[in-house]
Amino acid sequence: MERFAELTGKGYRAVISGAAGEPGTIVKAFDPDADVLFIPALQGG
Amino acid sequence: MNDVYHRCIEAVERALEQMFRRVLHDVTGDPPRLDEVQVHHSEFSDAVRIRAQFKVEGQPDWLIEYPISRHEVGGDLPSSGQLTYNADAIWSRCQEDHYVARMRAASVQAMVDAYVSGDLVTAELHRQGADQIGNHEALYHASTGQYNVAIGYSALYSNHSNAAVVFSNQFPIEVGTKEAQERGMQLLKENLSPQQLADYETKKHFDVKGGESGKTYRIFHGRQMNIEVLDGKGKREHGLCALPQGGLVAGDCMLAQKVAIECDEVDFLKVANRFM
Repeated sequence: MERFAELTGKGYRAVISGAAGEPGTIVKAFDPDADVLFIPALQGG
Repeated sequence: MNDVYHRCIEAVERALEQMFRRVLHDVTGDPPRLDEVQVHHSEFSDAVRIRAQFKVEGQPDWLIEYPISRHEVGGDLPSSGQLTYNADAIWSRCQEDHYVARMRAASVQAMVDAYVSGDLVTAELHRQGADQIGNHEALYHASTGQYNVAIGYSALYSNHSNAAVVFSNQFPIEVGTKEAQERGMQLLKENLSPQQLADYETKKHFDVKGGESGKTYRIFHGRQMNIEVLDGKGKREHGLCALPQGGLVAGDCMLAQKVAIECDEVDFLKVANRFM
């Protein structure tokens, strides 16, 4: 849970992947049962 | 520009395309790699150009443009009769332009080869010979997703050969160790749909839908300057550049871009920089 808060606090998106590559879902609260990907924030290149 | 104008232009394009295909068939007997013909009428000047796009195996191959003089246009709108009547002549001039462009492209390739091998003196000589070409090579490489090459060409054409060196060193497509690259690609592939994975494996790009707009974005293999916005017909509207902080490998970058577009398109568009 601390890790979740730390990373999302740094701007990471916590995302639960969709099935078979379908769009995932951004989660705002820690779910111990969810398999979450942490995606770093994007910046303009 | 009104609807009548656009319908007129579309009619001219269709007529020209038919004429071009016939000329191609007559001349080569091996028709058409011709993809489409477009007539561009600048909104800011009287300039009118005919553009013919060719493809090989579904990929953009070469593109020729033909400027139409006021004399040939004969007014504000191109005359379909005038243009189609002169299609053979127009096609011949397009071919001449294309031949010249190809010759110059060979010079550019020699320049790049010398450049890559570290022979900057020879590269500079080739650059001087080629710097009147325009930026077709950069556009071509951008269209095929080779953005770092495109940037290099762009910088070279802009007489910034030093900038090209800096760019290609500073923004390589691949970063990190081979192991990190492979892990990144593995994670990306695990999060692609079967269609996206098939596209990526065969074409090195895949399409995603914007979560808000439903628009199609094409993500090419790469880390930055690797996203295109497509219109309803699947044609490129413009490019977008946004990447994760931290110098991540290409697979991680593409996954972050996919997630951002699908799940948080509005925020993605706020940070992404647009390029043509």
